[in-house]
Amino acid sequence: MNGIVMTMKNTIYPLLGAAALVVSCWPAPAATPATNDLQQLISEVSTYHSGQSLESLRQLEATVRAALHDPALRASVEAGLVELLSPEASYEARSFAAKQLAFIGSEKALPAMGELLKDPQTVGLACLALTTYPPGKADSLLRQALANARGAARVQILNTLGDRRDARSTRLFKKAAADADPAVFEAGAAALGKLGTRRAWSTLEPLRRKARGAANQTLLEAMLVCADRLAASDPKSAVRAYTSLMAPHEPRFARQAALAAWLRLEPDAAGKRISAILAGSDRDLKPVAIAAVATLPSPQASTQFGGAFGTLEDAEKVWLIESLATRADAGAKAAIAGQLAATNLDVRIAAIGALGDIGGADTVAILGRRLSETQEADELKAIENALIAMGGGRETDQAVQAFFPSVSGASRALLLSVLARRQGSGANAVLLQEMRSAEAAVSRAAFRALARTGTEQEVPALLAALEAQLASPVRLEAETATAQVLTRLTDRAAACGKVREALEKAKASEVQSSLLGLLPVCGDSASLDLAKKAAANPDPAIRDAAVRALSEWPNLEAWDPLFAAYRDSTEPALRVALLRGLVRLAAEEHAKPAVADRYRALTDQAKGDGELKLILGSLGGAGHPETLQLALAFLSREGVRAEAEVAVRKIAEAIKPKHPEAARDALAKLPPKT
Amino acid sequence: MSTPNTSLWKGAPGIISPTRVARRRFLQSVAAVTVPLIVPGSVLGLNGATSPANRIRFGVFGVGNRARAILPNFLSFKELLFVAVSDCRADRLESGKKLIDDHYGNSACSAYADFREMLARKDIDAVLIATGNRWHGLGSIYAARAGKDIYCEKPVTLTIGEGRKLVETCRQFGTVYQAGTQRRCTASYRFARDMVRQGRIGRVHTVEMQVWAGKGLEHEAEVPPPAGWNYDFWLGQAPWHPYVPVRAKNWQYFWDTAEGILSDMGCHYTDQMQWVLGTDDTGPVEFEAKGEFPDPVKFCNDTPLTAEARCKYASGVTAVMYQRGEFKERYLRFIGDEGWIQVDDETDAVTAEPKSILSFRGTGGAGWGDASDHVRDLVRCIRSRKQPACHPEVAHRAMTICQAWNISLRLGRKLKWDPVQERFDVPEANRMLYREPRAPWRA
Repeated sequence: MNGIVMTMKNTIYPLLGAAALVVSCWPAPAATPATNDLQQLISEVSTYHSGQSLESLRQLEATVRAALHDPALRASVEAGLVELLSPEASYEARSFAAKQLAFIGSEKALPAMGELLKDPQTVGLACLALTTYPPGKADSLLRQALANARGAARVQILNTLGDRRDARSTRLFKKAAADADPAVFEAGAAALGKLGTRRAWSTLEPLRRKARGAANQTLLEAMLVCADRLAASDPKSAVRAYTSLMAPHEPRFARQAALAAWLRLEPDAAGKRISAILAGSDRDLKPVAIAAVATLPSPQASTQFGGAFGTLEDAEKVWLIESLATRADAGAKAAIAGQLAATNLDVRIAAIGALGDIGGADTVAILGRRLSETQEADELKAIENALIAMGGGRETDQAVQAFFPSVSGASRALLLSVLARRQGSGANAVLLQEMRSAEAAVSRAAFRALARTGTEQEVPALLAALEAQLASPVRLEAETATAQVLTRLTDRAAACGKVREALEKAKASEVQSSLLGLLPVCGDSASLDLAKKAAANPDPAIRDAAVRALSEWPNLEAWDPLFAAYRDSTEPALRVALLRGLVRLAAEEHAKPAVADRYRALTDQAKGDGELKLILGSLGGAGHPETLQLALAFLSREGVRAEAEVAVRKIAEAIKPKHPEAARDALAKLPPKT
Repeated sequence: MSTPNTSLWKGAPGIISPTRVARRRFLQSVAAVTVPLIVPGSVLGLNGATSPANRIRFGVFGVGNRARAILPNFLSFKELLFVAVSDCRADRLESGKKLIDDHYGNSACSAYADFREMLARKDIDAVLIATGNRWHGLGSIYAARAGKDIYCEKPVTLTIGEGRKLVETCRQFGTVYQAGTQRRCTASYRFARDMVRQGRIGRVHTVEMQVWAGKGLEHEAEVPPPAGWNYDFWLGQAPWHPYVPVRAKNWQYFWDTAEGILSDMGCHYTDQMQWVLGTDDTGPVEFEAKGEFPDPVKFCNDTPLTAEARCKYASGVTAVMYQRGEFKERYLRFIGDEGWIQVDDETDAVTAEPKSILSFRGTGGAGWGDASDHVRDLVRCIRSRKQPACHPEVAHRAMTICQAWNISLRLGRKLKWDPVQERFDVPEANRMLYREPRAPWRA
């Protein structure tokens, strides 16, 4: 039995004398006080009330800690604490002392505790301390006090004796359990329950037969506790007790608790009982019986109960699947796999999830076959998740890969997603193969997966894929995948070299367009040169791709060609894309006053309020007198006044510390804030 | 000075009327519940597919701030029906009832100043316990004895002994119990766990955790309790103390009524640590904690302001919890010999080294503020009678770590712990395993 709480009897009496390192964690002085100082401390603590300084209490606590390793000091400290238990001390002082004595007190403190037990105001303090005492004199003290205690005090002492499982108090508990005071009756009954003896049980049972209402419930509680205690010391009696508590007239929770306990106590007979319950109609007990299948010791249990699905309702089948999954043996897996054919979707999904938890390489094919048999979205998702989560490491990865030839279309695409999420070794080789699939769904899935798993090693193959003839949705996935792989590389120089090589060799317009789209990820001068060159290409598609690449450029090197393209472009959508890129680049220089020149150049080229709004929206982030002037100029333009006001306000607030006059003048031009 | 009114609990005005599991078995029981199956739910009677007669009827014990924060997670489940609230403060009782009534658009919710009356109702199947800490363990024990299933906020107990009693009581009464350590059902933490268990940071050797620094509370004198506040009930099992406003409003900072921030919040992270390390049925074997405490001249609270608490498992894994910094600086980090992974508790962000670990993360999943998955786990288990993810043994073992640290802090000692016998090597520490409740309350 566990060694704490319920075995207060076995509390180890404090050992004195062992020297040990004491770590002081208080800011108060660590040096132990001399006798006079200790007396002074006691005197100060004795008058403590809330609201006063706690210094003397903390000092006394520190002294108590130091006393743990100093027998002489311990004796003095304990004597001082005992003094604090006297009625002359404040209640809070007595409470403090009792809490300290709870872990340092010896038999010397018992007389004073006995006095506390006589007073209903302090009986709780005494019991708080006495609970931690070893069996023997503390129990005698409590029993003696019980004789004269009434009401709440009586209840407190009964509770404490009950927690201490004092067998010598059995007669007293029995008497209390017949008391007219409901609180005393409850305490007595509970204490009997905690004793957990046959004698206690035989007291409680007849009492309960006669009791009604709340009293009956109280006795039932005590009997459940008693039976649990009996299980450790007298299992046969406990089994009889639990059998009686499973009777149909008992409350559901009690029947369920009794069955669970009975099954734990009778593992050899448990299987038979569970079978009877599963075949029967007792709905209250079925869940408990099904739950217990998980821990049945018999190696045949999985097979035996795997055959019970036919008698169960759908919810019960799900529970049985969970229980079998806990067993996780071959019989369980087979039984669960059988439920993949269940008519109920939730049961099938439960089976799939369970196989994901307990399966391995040998389970892949089972779930793989189910892929082709179902169209249910939830079920497909469950299979995907199960295969991703499935243990078995490399073997399972290989089993997934080996299953590929068996499936096509959406199923194959799903398996590719699984491979990507598992990130097993060999996955990328399969993905590179599958990205060339004639089935668009499969090809796209492979690229999506490679976006996640691809490394520098896969870049040449991805570039080669872009060079092939690809349908437009597939090409988009291929571009995205390649871009994401490049983005993940910490050193892109070599990979970007390959991108440029491919671009220079490419003939087809769509291939060049795809490769141009990768150049911003590279962002270096050589790539910029290629983009600039392509921006002058006679093929409009290539020119368009180049310009868009420039608009996504990550650094200011692209400003000039981008600006030139913006200046010269007449197509509205393209102008906006270019302008967004320029504004993004300008923002890189917001800390420099010279950025005003860039914004001025943009506003000079802007065609229409739409473009001006885009510029003003970013201008507000550049806090300089020069940009303020630029923003002010647009306050008079009706179509962009609102945006200009926002920009002026933001810039003025930003420059106020260094340019208060300019800021004030600018703000004065704005309508007041509402 | 007011002294305990020993008759208060007996119908004063204002009150409406008054079991070691074998390791294989444990692992099997835990394995059954750690990964909720993906089941849409109609077969289990979830999400609207439940007839009114089959709805699980809930009461709420404690309708303060935490209850208000978490109730929406419960109320979103159509298969649950909240029928009663209980609180010892009249203002909270009234507002709690209103919250439930407003949700259902009626006035059917019952209100009880004495939670025992609520527990006595045979039509209530389960309770949500969101009281102050001193009522978490004991309230759960009362609810279990009344045959109710339970969701109880953390920290689940005040002492190690209370925790063991909680485990025993739930076993004795067949209770389905879920502790409110909902991060086990949170995507970010599950991901961190999966990455550690898949060995992606190598062998874990250190766990780091952080909770925030406490504050000093200035001394105040006792005053009468506010009107409409049953203070005796409010105190519950705690040793009697006169009503002092600063103590009542900041109960987390006093040993009598709570256990300080190290436990209050730290239990979330010790729970995660236990889960990830696979030690839910055991725990560390060494504890040492040091702290800075409030200046007793100026301040009245007795739990630490800052602390550094360490422990060590038999496997050699060590852990440290820092109590320092701001509230938003909480984190949990697993450090292995090939990297580390960290969850920032404020933002739910996951960082790791090597960064490539993060590429395994799927999308979606709620943050810890949404406890729906945790509640769903409980609801499933109420029907199946299996144990949810944070069942009593799990919760107790996680709490034990924090409570052992507190004992080390208070004794100023390094402690060795036997997780099988649940005993320390220091006698005085063993005498701090349990605190006898103040009558009439009993564990």
